[in-house]
Amino acid sequence: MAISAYAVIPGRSRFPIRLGFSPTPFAVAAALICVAPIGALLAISFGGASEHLRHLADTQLGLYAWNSAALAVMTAIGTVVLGVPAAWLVARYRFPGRSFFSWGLALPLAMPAYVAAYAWVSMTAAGGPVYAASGGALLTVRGLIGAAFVFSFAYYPYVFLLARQAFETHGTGAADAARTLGAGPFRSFTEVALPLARPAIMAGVALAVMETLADYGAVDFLGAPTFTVGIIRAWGSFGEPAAAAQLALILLFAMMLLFGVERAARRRRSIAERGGRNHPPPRMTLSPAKAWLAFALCLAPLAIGLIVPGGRLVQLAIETEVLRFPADALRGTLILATASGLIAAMLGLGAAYAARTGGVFARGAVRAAHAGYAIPGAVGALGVLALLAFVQSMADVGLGAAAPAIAGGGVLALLFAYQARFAAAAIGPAESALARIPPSLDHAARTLGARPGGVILRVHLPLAFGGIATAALLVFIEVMKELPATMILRPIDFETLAVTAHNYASDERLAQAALPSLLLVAIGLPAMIIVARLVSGVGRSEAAH
Amino acid sequence: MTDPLLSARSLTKSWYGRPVLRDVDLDLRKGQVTAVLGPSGAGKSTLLRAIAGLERVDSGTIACNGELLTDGAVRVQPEDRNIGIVFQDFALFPHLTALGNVLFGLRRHPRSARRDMAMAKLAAVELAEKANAYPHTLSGGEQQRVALARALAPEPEIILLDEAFSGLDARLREALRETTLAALKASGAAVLIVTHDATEAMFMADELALMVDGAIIQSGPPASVYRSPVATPAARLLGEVNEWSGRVESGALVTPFGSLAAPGLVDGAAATALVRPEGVVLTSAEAGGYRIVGRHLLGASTVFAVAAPGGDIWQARMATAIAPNTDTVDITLDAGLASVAQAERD
Repeated sequence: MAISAYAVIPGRSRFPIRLGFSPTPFAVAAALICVAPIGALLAISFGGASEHLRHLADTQLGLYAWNSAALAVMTAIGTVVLGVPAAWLVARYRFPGRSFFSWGLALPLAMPAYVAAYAWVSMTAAGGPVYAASGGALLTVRGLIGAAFVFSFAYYPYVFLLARQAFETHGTGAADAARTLGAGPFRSFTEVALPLARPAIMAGVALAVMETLADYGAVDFLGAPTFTVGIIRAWGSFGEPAAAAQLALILLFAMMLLFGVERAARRRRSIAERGGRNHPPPRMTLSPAKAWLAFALCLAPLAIGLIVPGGRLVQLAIETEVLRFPADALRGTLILATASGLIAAMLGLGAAYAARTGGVFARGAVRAAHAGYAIPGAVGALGVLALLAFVQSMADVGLGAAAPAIAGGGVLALLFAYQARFAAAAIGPAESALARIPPSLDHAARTLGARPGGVILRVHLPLAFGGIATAALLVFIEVMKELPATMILRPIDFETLAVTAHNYASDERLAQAALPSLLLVAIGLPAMIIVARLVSGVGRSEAAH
Repeated sequence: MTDPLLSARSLTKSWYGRPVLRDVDLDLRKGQVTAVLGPSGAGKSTLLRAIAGLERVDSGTIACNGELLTDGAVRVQPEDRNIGIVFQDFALFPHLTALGNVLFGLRRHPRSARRDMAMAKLAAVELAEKANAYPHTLSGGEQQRVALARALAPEPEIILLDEAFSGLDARLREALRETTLAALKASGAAVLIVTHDATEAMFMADELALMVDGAIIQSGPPASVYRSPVATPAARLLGEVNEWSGRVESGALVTPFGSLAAPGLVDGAAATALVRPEGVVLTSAEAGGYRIVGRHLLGASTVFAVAAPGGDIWQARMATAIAPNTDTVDITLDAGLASVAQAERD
């Protein structure tokens, strides 16, 4: 009875909540930020000549396409192999370190893939410790295989987090039922828990592959050029914005397909997870030998994804004489990441209100903003440049010589491009934070004399604060790691840690790249620990007892 | 009878073509508890939410003290209506303590007095010692009492309870009914309770309204509604009832146990006698025409299933002390616990 009554409430309470302001402008702003650069990109790619693209098609395009596709497939397999078994172990069994691994396995997200690549190359190339210890028998982390290795360990946390949640929601309970029906532990996993979690796993893989295709630093460094590298080369080395834009559109098309997969998987997930239990059955105890095996299986991805490369960076940073402490780069990174986090939190909250209370138009705009996550940094940055050039030409026509110089990019352009890509990362958590507030709380507050604005200040914000802070932190981390958009749009004298590290590494001065890389991880890791614990509900379950 | 404090007139509303309120009239009076009883989906909660200003209606008016609150659209916003609600899920603010929840509605009182007022309300529901506890640490019954104290704190003229006991287990529900009723009566407010629990409705209400499919089918003092249902669904809502169908002859329906007056029904009309189990009086008879086929002791009372010669089964309920102990019995009807309604057309 209580359950059916709850199920009826959302339908019943469509009473439009008055906010005291219209959230629609926020949704429209979020959508415009994402859509306008793409529109500008379309304009220049169709406006420009296509000889360069044709030339590329004869030479490099095949390589870019092959590398991109091969990396996507290998990373997909790698992230599943690393993420799913660990998720199942953490959800299903009790073993040493289990509660740490439930969020700790997400921590490699704090290490940018290109930083992991620097660390691994410096270990496995001639002269490195692994090379020396094995006598050169182990392969150097290079090329396509090396990149797939780095990406698998960098992005398996997406698969791990989503799969673990799916297993905990219903997989373990269903597996218990399967055991009582005569299926062994292996069959109950492969035939019951795994199919139930498949949509969640697909969504995680789609995210991991999207990150892989958006990466520039690692594939450039490891010598496995993908579309992103092609875009930046076309833009930078050849000065061919139209060709860059055309390449960008090809990449964008692939990303939108993946984005569609992820959204569809999410929808199926919401159906599959209906009827899930709030309290999964107690975890099973393992024999000591098996418990330590589980521990080792969970430790391996964390060690290879974070601890070993992180340790190598520490070692390099200590051994290397520091030429110049990257203070400017540190400041630049902190300014960009903090500002982006705050802007994203505001946009995200506004857009989440629009999604909750607004009309069809507002909801459509929010959905468009979500798609921004599928826009790779390089593509978004080119789009912003194209948009600025367009605005500049309008201003020149209108104001003549008095028009300000807009087109060169700059910090504001950079912040714009970050929002295009990461605003979606803030909308999601803000939306789910608001969605967890039952409408009856709004109504209770109203009948107790609170004005609509008072409901927001006195009820929504205190309750949604955790979710919104998570969103801001996530954007902070992402912006800090971001490389290609920063390279394209940053003012010439504006340094960030990511760009500094990349520049050193490109010059094969890996020892000098270690310190800025290490600083990135050192700032990102505490933020990621907070996010991972919040997302995994560590703090929440403690508060509930 | 005093004039109503709040009057709802001709409220109608539909959801995607399905009517949820059909021409509903309802009056709430100061110091009086009105209960609306109906099955899930009957439109009770919609009615309550419309009165609170949380939902608009398609047509009809709601007025309080002569001021128009709703005429289709919401004219006076919920925060300006001086109406308190206890929600089904209690809707306590999880980020505020019990005291913080009660203080929430006291913004319009002088700052210095607020805390004492809130503590007094918590004390009235015997929760003063839990003032600094957060809702998730309170039991269901305690949460319900905090919700009640919170609704009462701003001293509203009208209090609405939306299935306010349904989240609690049966024993707790009975215990809370009395304290809740006492607190509501003490407030002097006009009270509206919507519920699907007949016992709760009859226990609490001074005035009872039965709602089925969005329409109020009968209203009046609980005892008269219980004793004299005007239709079969009304009778069934309030508990078990024996139904016996026949045709009206000379203004009465003649049952095997005597005739029942059928006011308002024309001769020859199909009619149904509605007799509460306790209106079926059994007397011991060794050679009686009715055979007892089921007998269940409930403590103070005993329920019987009695088979008539034709095969009809009658339910009876009698005080255990005077219940028959033979296998066959005679039956008489207590006309005070029986009524005749027009037969259902289905």
